[in-house]
Amino acid sequence: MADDHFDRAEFIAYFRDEAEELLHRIDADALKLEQSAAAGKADPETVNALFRALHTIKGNAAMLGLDETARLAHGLENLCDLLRTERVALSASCVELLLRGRDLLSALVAAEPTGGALPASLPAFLERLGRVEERETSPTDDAQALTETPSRAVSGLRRQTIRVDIERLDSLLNLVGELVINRTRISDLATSLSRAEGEEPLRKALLESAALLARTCGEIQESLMKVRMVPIGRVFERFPRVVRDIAKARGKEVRLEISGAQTELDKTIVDEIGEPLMHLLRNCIDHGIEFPEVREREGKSREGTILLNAYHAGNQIVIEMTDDGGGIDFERVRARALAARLIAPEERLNEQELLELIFRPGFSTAENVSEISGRGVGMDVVQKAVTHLKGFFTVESEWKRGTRFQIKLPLTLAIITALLVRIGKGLYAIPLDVVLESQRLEIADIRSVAGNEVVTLRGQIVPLIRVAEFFHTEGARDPEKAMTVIVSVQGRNIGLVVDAFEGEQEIVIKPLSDLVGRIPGISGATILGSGAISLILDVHALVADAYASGKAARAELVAAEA
Amino acid sequence: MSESVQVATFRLGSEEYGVDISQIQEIIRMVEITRVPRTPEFVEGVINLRGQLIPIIDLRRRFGMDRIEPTKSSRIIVTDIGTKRIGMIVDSASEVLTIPLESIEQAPEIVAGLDADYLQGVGKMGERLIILLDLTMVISGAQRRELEDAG
Repeated sequence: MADDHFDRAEFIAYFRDEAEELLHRIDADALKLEQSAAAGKADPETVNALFRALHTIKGNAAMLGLDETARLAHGLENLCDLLRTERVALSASCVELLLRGRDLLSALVAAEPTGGALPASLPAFLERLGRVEERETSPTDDAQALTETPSRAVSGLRRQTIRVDIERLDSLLNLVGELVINRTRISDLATSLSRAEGEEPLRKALLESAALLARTCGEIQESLMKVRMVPIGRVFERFPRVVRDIAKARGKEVRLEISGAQTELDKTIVDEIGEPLMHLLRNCIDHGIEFPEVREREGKSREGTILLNAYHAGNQIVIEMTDDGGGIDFERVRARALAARLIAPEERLNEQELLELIFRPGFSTAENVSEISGRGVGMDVVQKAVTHLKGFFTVESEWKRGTRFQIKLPLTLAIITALLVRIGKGLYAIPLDVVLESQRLEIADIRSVAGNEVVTLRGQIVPLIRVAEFFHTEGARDPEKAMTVIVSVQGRNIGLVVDAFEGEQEIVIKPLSDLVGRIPGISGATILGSGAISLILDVHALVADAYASGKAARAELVAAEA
Repeated sequence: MSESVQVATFRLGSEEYGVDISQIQEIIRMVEITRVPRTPEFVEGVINLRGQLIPIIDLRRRFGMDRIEPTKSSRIIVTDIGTKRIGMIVDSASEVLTIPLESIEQAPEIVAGLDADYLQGVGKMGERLIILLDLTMVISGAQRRELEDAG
């Protein structure tokens, strides 16, 4: 290699990445052992897997001169060996030791390479590990054999992977984006040339070549997008441990069932959805699942169940978290919303509107949050994160039966299907996943409610937003020919008034320069095949705006009646 | 050899300006500019430069001059300021000049239409007066004004 400089920082980054992955697996395996601890016998496959993971961490740590990390990994590896050879019986305390050791190891992986402070409890823990070892007498000479056989067995299953810096991938994706744009241009040129006179074979060749280029481009783009896709299981894998720890600390019995861990979505989204999901999970255990005694009284099993499920639906991924806990107490939500002055005493809300209150910032800031049986701790944080990822967050709940949270996210943030519309001279893109329908706007159908234009769509009143007016730009010359696009965000519909529809297209989202600033109602821009630029409408913001002003109008109406 | 600076020169109205060439990425002909609503007046819109979206500001408007329709000699000067890339519309781009430091004078305190903070000095080349700009200040000034508009 041209660069023969031993870049320790880079190695350490790789080491940490890999160790983190292994530590998650150790967690999962240790929890599996915990379940079989009652029987006193460990599943050999699980112990072997633990052994291998620890062995790998030990080896890598030793190579980088991380002595403490290597020593701890070695100690834990020994413990696994004792378990496997049945010189130590599997017990709850044994698993506890493994889990504690794993946490210490995780702390060491974070601290030792950068010279951070090592955990104070480390020496005592190592000593305790040593005592387990002393209790047995025979030497551990078959440890070698153990590492050899399984690692060979596993190498056949091991997927060939390579770690790539996400920035490099992004720049590659950018280049492909340009290729795609150019491809369209070449196709256009070939088509217009084919209408010209003469040079028949040349024109044919060009057309063929353009078609081939188009196909290759599409394939590159698709595989590159796939490279960015990772299974959501990466996020889920740390949850069983979290659930176990929180449930233990709260004195609850909780079982976490995971399905759909293989469902794939964009790496960026996977990275950002972990924290919000963790929040939600904590909330489910804290406020959803009842104490075992309460559950028994209700005729439920002592152990509560949280079902975490992920699946694809169209070009979205749906993540559902369902618990069989106490459900949301609407009266308490109302009482707290009143106390936090989120609603007025005379305001009448239906159940769905009440549920939505828990997403509002300020709902959770009331005192004694943990004593409230309703939900709402930091729900606004989850809501914000999901909105940021262009997703939707909904909740449904049944009193004493349980609660289901649903998060819908786009599979990728980079490419979406959009409806292109014309407003004045400008082309705008509306993400297709929020479009309910589009139709000609009949002037006769427009009504006015407290100064706001609305139309009635199958009995429902839908506020209209004239996009041109919203942006203070030149709009339709002929209002008779205006069109409406009905968009829906979290069950709220609005009609966007535009001049014309220009069809659907897959678009690559590009951020607008921050020099232009944040523009209300616009979330980004895209370059179309023709090279023209289209701005992407921020439908979330437009809907929120419409409802904010609609609410004001409603308040005025109420005031006028009073 | 005495020290000097290399500047690319361009015209706005009857005045000649210069910008350090190290700040200039490229100079392109006028292309179609997509207007972006609700931006400050001098932000003309965005353009597509080989797949990249670049905001364009009208330097005339930025300096408080009258807006004119683009002509055949209008150019967009694409500059990199820090990590930001931005295009500026000018009436015409002229040439690259080497100006000895000793020919550069401090800007007079009052120059019509210009805030003094993005004015680095005035280069004298024979009869020509070249107003030297600090683009960083042109942009940060632009952002400042945008903030004021928003507030």
